[in-house]
Amino acid sequence: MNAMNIDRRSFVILSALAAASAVAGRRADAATPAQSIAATGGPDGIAWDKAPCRFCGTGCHVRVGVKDGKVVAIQGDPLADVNKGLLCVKGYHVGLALYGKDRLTRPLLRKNGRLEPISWDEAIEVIAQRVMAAPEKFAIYGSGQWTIPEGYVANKLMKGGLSNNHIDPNARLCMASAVTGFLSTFGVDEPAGCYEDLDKCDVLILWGNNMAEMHPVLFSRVIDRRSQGEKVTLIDIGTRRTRTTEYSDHYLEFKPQSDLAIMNGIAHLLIKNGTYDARFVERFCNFRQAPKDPGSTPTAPLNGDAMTFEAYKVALAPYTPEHVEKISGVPAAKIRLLGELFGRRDLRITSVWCMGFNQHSRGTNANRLCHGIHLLSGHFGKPGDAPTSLTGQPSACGTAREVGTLCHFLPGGRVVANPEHRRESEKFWNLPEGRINPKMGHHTVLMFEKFCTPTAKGGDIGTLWVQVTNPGQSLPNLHKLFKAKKGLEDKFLIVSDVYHTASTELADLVLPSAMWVEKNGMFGNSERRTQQWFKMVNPPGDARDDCWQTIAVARKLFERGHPGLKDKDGKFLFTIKNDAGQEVPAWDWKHYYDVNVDKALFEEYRAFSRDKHKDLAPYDEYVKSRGLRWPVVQQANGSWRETKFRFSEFDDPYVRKGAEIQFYHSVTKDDKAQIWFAPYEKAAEEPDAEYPFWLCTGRVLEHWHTGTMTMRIPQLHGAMPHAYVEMHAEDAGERGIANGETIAVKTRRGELKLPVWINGRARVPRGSLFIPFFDPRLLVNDITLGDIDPISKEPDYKKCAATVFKVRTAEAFRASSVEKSL
Amino acid sequence: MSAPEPNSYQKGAWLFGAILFTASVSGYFMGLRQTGSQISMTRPVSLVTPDSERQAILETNFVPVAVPYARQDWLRNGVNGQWQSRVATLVQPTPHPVTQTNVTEEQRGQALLERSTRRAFDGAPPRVPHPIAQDSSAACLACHGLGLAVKDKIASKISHAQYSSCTQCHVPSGGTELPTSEPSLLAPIVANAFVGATPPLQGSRAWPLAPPTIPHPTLMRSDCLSCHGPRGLFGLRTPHPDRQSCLQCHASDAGLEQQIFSSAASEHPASARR
Repeated sequence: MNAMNIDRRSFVILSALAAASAVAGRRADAATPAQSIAATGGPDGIAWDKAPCRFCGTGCHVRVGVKDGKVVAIQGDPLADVNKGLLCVKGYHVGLALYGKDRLTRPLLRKNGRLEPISWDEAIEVIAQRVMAAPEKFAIYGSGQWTIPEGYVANKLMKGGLSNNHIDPNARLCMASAVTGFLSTFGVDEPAGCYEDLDKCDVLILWGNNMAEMHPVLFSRVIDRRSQGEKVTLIDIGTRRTRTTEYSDHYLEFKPQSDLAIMNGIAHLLIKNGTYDARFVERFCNFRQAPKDPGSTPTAPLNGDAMTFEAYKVALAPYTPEHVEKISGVPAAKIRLLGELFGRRDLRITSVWCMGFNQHSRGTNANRLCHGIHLLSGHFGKPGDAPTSLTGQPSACGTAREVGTLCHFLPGGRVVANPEHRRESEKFWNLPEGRINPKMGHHTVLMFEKFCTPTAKGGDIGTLWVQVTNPGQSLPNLHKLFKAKKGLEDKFLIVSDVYHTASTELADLVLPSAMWVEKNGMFGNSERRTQQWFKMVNPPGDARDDCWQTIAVARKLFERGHPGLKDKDGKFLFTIKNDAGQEVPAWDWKHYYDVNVDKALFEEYRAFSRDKHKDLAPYDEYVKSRGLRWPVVQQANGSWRETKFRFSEFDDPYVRKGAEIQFYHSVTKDDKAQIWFAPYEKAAEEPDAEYPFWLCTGRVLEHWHTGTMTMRIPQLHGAMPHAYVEMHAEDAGERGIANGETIAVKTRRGELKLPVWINGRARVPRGSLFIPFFDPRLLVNDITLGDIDPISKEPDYKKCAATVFKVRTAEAFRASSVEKSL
Repeated sequence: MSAPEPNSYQKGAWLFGAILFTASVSGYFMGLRQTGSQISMTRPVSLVTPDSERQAILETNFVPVAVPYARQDWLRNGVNGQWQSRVATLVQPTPHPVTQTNVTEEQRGQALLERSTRRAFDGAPPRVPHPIAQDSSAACLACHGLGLAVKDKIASKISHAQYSSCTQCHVPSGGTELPTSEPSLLAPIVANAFVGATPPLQGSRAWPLAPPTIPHPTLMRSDCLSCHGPRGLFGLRTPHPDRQSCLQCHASDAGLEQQIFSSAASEHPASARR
């Protein structure tokens, strides 16, 4: 009877749903056809598993609901320490990223100008032929979205197999200045603190960082403390008013590039008022400045020259609050406020930054100065007292920085220029001595410049394989660095991706990839947390793992007799064994999942992590956890313990007892960090009479980077359908420009037509423009600058000179009426 | 001789004018009546008049009582007569707790469907069906902080008040409302084939009259009355709002909560495939 009863009830409800669906269907989301509700009915049969989110570097854990071989639901993972059950709108909809209708499902080769389907065997053969013909002209452009094993195999293939260091990830475009900032200050990369700093700080300073939109879950972690009755002071130091500003206690609007002067102003006040932490500086810090002779050694620009405290004081003397006000436009009283806050010992101060400092023509210096004011004031090494950089990609730390997929790195914080590091790496990889090339490869901007330059004119990159990223949209100055490839007959672009993108438009070979939970994976987030997930659904059609693609090409090169693909004993470089010790032909897709290739590769890679005390635990520890923060150190009882606060005795097992703070990878080998002096310098391009506006680019909450995934998610696209240019109302008024009107924005690189948004989500000051870069139809990078920081080689996307003008009304009208008639 | 003709023209013009006038006047008032709502409720919510005096007046056989002009706003006639301009009074007192609400299965089904139109899958944060202030979340809580019902529009009460950055998860379905001159930019680039999890139909009952278990996870749903209270969708309302301690009788389901998570391999349904 009972069962009958429930069946009847279900039937009635289902009937009602079906009947009502016809009425309500017109309002239903395209992604939720009303019929589907009647078709399934109830959450039964949904299998849940954990995974880190596919999008930003925060590293939230989600729970992925799978039914009938498809992802059907996402939950914030309540057991995850990072997000504690909360996600952002992108995270909640991450499952939809798999189901854009135009997923790539077959390898495509360009024949007579058109991309035509070919088999995987042919595709792998084509790549192998290109590499064999000119291994030194082959380059791989990777990603901070590579999983750790994907980045590891690509790195090993290039540096260990082909003795070719032309491998660089897109993290060069977003994190390189943070890396050089950490390296030159602490001697080792990545933040010392962790997200717990956000829970403990009394003051949070956001340096050019719209955290409410870019790292929403971390932002909530701070502001939700207020709901619990806690007091936390937010200081937004930015170049435009954003959602973050609305939550802030103070808003300091500075002129682009003058952040350098503001930080020097803070240091000046700490010295002048005698409120710097003399004990901390005496015990734990040295002073550093730019080298007199930057060309003396390859590391001279990074490590600089020693400086006395007296010389440091003299260098800071000009940065009075009044002088800083003149440069930055921030009132002297506000500079004093910052100086006083840093001078207080009773407050915990955390600084966060992301692209504002990093995509900066003096990005390394901006990072150094921020570390410097924290060290000088002793706001370091205690929970809540931390300078912390945030990352934009899910594994910029894990794959780009730790695996060392940059053109000068080897895994585990080693560099190709160091003979000892090369020897160690050759030993780990069982390679003959001298296999690894000591010469740094091409960094991203140079790599694309060379690829887009005819071979006869010195363009020494002939074949470029792009994995898990979209340089056709994200590189700066696209006409020069990407679109110039068009028509260069001897250049060959390979793109592995899940959708057609701005990059596949010029690709000669397109490979369909598996994404996220369609494969096993590991990421490393902003707070040194390494995360793991298992494959949960099958990729569509003939799409395959990027990791497999690289191994398959490596195997083909091995079979064709390339000597580099053999180790010292003549064995294939990527020999994968199962638990029984038998070799598994992982290059054969049929057998790729016979064994957990990720686990095998991670266990091999893990050996590299000890040298810089970035110890990684065995793979299975990550299976059990929601990520672990390195160094993960084995305890006497055999368990594995993560480290939250590096260099601090109370938490870091590698700090000598009694040391309190120990920078055990110090540049100066004396366990001390470096406080840098760096002057304010002008931006690479500043507004003038011809181009009177500053142009800044960036992101929005709903879309992730180039929008290839999020623009295909109806809920996200529906909320933010297209890019726009932000402009001040008075600037628009003077030019007779109305809200929503399409205008032209022009720089020395090109021109872009797009709608104006006045007093919208964010407000730029007079003389400033802002354009987000997510929209593939409105490529702001057609007009960005592309000048790089001399040390980190990271481009400045935040500052260039632009002008605007009205598009002829008739032309705009014609364009819109044509669209309507379509 | 030509005099009658202007007359008939005049008459015609007058007649036409009269028709036009009638049509526009009646059209205007009909237009006022059409308070079209973006939220189509299963059943309209009637305003509960906060002013007990008015009730008293109405009960005395509608005999008008002279009141000061300053307080006459609620006595205005016409379609909007009952509308009030004082925002504070828009927040209605909770209906009397013993008000019984009996929901049919059809109404529940319709409410679930209504709910699903704003979500990519069951459990996704609902999209905002109206324009929002793009630069701040402060305005959200003016209506959603305590919940608000005006005519047939309901602003449901926030069910996770500890979170304060509303727009982090809830985005408008109508885009930026930017009057863009390029309509082509509003069209989706590519369609999406995702099919989301559907809402649970009902909890389980140990026997026919036992209190049902909660058929959904409770994470971020710490206030049951947000959905099941008097300002929830009609089909989802509790039949006994007088009972305040929901979890006393309705147990959550550990399987749905996903709060207990062991390290056992069985926790990874996909790991069998590795």
